[in-house]
Amino acid sequence: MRFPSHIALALCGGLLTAAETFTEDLLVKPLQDGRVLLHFEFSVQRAAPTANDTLHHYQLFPRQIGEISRRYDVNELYLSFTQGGWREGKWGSPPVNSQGIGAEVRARIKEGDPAKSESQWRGLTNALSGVFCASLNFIDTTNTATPRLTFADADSPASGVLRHGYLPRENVCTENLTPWVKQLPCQSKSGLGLLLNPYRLYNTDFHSMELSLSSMKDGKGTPVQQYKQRLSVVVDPGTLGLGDRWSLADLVDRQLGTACPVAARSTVRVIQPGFGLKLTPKPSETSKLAGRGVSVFDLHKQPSVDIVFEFAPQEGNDAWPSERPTISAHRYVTGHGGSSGGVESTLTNRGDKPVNVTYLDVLPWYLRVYSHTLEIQTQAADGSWALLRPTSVAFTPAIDRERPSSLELALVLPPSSRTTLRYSFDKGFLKYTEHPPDANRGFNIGPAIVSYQHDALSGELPLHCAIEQALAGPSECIVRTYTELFLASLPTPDFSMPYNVITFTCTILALFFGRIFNLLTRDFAVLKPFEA
Amino acid sequence: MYRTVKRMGIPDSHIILMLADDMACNPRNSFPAAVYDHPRKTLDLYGDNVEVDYRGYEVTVENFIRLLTGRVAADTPRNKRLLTDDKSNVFIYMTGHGGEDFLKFQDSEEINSYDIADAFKQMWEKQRYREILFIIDTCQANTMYSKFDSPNILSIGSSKKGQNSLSHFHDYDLGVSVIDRFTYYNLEFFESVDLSSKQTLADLIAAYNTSLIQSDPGVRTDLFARDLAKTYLTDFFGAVQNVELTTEAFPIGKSK
Repeated sequence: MRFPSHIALALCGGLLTAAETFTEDLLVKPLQDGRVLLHFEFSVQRAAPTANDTLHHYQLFPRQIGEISRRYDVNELYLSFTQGGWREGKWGSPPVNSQGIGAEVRARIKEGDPAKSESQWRGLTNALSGVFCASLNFIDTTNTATPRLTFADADSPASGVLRHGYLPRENVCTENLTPWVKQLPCQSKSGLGLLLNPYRLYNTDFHSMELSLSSMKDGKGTPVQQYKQRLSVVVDPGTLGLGDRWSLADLVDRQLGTACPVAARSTVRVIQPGFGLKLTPKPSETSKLAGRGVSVFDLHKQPSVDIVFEFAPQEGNDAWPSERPTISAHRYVTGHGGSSGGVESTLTNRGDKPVNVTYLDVLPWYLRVYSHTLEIQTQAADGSWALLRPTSVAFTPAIDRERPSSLELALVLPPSSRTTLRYSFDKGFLKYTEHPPDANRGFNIGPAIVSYQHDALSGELPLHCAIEQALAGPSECIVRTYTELFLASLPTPDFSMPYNVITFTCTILALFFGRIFNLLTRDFAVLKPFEA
Repeated sequence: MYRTVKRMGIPDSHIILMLADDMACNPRNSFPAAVYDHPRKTLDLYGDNVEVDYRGYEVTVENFIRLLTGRVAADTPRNKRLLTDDKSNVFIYMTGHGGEDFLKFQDSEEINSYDIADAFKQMWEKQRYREILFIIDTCQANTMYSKFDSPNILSIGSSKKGQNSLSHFHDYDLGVSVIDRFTYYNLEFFESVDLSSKQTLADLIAAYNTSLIQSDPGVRTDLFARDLAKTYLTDFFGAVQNVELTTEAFPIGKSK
């Protein structure tokens, strides 16, 4: 009797693992300034749960995420925590599509009753804040926007309203990584999860941790759910005391072991700078990625491999190919004083073709944007200025303490041009109790987002698309560039004023009262001198 | 203290950690993702496996009182709730800047001793605890527990009224003092305690050395029903399951 039940168990296990697949990959890319990009990508795919699935069985797919998505009717979810700016001039295009500093949450919640989906969004951000130890519960209606153009990816079969919330002051630290690592099937026990050493991952110039849940169709047309966890860091071997020769274990201070046993694929890929880098041992195979050679180390074939990087001494940085992305965006705050200010954004198109971009800027209600001040000018390569008309404008004005203002523009950026957008705002007054504990520091304002499709453009594929296509297969390439944050200093009240007023008034009252009381109650009489 | 209770087997789901500052990953911390108790940097109090439940601006007096009394918003996730009942021992450790009858939260507000006493009273009425161990490390800390009037609360403070609680170990790499004296000597004592330890609260209190702490720690036992010499530290600091042995076999299955 025992024997068949074993077979049944084995069969059952086989079927279930076939339904869920897990892959883990690490990309290592030496950068021009001597720093090194490490990009971890963990992906779980499972058949999309159907409405009559009552078992809710989870094997590799994290149960937390499955339950959250079921409870709040979420088809698409995206969450990222980023610290440090991505220096595109030195590092080329970023490995992730979102590099805005702070925490960003996006979710597409199934269409339904607006009041219900509003409470689902609130429930979702609260649940995520519990899972990921972050203050995501501070996302409410005042910092949630519903952009229509920027995130309208055509390939997503999911329907529903996309909500976008941003917390520019959210930091990322070990407590966010801990629950993130626990969602991996092998956690940090084997496979690439072993390398996730917080002491090194937070000692970096750039750190971005993200997760995304998406619904799609696989090759056979069956609906699947995909959950991806990505972590990108830029490490400086120089500050760790490493010279021209170091190993991956030196860089993260952790030794690689065997591959995660349930991983269908477990690789370390080194993107070759094209010259001067010698790797030992020999990779299992080599391939190409965005025009560069890639050495692939398969952990199933080469367990416990410790890749040694040896750089030949360089003569200047001339040999490095320029990898600046086609479009770059920067945003500055203008004006001075406590009453008004403005925003100036610069979008540069380096390509030789016009590019259709969408520009999204969500500003909190206390920066009261005047849409009539919007001015778009573009400067061609020869230095001449011209006015640029947006092909479409979607402006949602703010409501005090209820919703932010959101400005969305569709623009066609001429080839080799620099386009400047300007708009002004007034600064609103906050109530005494609405100020944060460190009120005089000012408020961080989230980035503007410029997005465009890369497919129609010539030139090198951006890194995140190249990674996506190398790991998952062909897909369309949408690029989102995030601008810098800015700090808005609002007029702050004198927080000690109520105390001052109380003491001052009380003093005057006491003096006045004492005098009058004396005058009213005392009986003034002329004393006769004492007669002896 | 987070490190101590976690080391003694209490899981993160039973610990609510409130940190107003991001000390570990602050750019001014030259040892990222770590908070050490001593300039020799052997013991990382933050650890590589920490879970913080309330952080940054979430750490307010209102949230703290709501957490204790259970009056939280409906959407609040489980790790931001104190899910205790009348069988739970609750250990509360507070540290920060303070003074007579108050403790500062952030840089803008403070909790006073009446607030905490009222919250504990509500907790007792709502059967949210069996026993509370309340330890506070701040200047004039002993004034903070003077207003308690609910049963089964044992309170320890770091310094008496009119006294300062001092910090310890200036770290020249960081430019700040890394720990408070009272907290440090507590921590040092607990490093010798493990799950099987039979040390009692009386041992802990006896270990306080006034000349090292440089203030007079106070203990308030009048509300606490048990004898301190018979109260194991693991009742509050460790996840120890007590097995009760019976002399007769317990009947299972035959309920009729």
